[in-house]
Amino acid sequence: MTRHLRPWLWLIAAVTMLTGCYFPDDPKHTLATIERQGVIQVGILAEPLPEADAKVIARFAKSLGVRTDYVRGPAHALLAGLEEGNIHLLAGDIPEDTPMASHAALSNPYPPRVRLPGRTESRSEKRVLLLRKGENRLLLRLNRSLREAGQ
Amino acid sequence: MSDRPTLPPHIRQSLERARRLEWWTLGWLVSIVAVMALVMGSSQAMQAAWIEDMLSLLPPILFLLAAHFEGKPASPAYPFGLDRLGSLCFLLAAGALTLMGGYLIYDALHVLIAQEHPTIGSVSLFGHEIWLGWLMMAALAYSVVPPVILGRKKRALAPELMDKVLFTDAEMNAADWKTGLAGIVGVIGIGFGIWWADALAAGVIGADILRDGLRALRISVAELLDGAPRELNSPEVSGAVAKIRAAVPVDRPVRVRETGRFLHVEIADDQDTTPSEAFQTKALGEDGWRIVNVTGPAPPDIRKGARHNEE
Repeated sequence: MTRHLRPWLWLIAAVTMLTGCYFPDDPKHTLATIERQGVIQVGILAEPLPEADAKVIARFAKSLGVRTDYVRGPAHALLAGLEEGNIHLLAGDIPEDTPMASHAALSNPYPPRVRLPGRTESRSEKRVLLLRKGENRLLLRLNRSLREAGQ
Repeated sequence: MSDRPTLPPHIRQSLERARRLEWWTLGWLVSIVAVMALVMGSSQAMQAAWIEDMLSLLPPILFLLAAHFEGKPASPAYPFGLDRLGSLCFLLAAGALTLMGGYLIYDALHVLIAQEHPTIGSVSLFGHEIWLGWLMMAALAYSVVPPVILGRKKRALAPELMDKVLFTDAEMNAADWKTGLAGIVGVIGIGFGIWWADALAAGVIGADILRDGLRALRISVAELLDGAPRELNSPEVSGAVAKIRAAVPVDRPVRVRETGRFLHVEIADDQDTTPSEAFQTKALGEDGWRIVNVTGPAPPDIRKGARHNEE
């Protein structure tokens, strides 16, 4: 049985390695665009950008070897920019159950410590980053970076 | 009245086998539904496959219900026995199949028209961030195997038993594995950045399933409306009708209808079966008009223009 399986395992391993770099791919090539332009455009939804968000974005930009451009503006304009591909990420205290979920893809949640107004102790509250829908390669790279940051 | 001839031993055996197959189907389907739910995440693409797996639980349950009540004797509440249950279960199973086809097409069109790009995330597994697409493909591959095997067995058994619920369930299983494969193709397509691959694959399969479902629905409606028996897999009148007609020596109208796998043959009475007004009024008073048909040996004044005295 194992003997029969072995060629298949090799095939699967080979396909995985071959496709590892480009599978899954982005239908709109967002990751490739970021890498080509050497800059990631991040729209900020909360001013000032919480430190926890800034940290994961800096880490992600570093892992891609690109610099970060922060874009400020009205929330709707930023979301429209994300949907059109001019903005690559949205950040800033975005909760897991954001109503923007129907217009954007959500990263895996990460737990920054947020200090609630009027309180001294901080508590864990999961936050997400938003990206363009269907850009699965960018999403996978982002989630990997988030995971490494969490360790 | 319910003294039904007992089923031949080989039919009883096959029925028992069919019942076992359906229990196996239920078990496997529940495990598939659970596995799919685990990897589904928020993916729209997977949700369709999952809903469709839930729907395919219906025909096996309906078959087992029908098989359980089939032989039950007539009772005051059900003086004609429960033969019609088979017909009802068939209608519901056909409805489930139709619904599934319709849902797949609706979902596919929705994605294509809204140009919704399916997002598939990732999970942490064994210290790596794994694209959920891989897990989805594995789950879909798992979901394909049991329906192929069980469906083939059921399809082989259905003509012998003349069981339309079983046949519809076999078609449901075919639908299951086809949508499973379409799902795999779709996820691979998404992986290559072809966002519409999944919807297109599901839509094509959905059309196929909808056709099967509508055909089964037509047959089942004919059965419920006391239509002549139909073929197992087409709304054509069954060849059994002509054979029965040929076997009846007298030249009287012969009417055949079916309930589930059973045929009911009526050789037309030599009497008019229209009730007399006197009987209608005597029995139900003002509501007498509701009695429209009286069959079987009856005293002369119950029916209009009884002809049995002419002999």
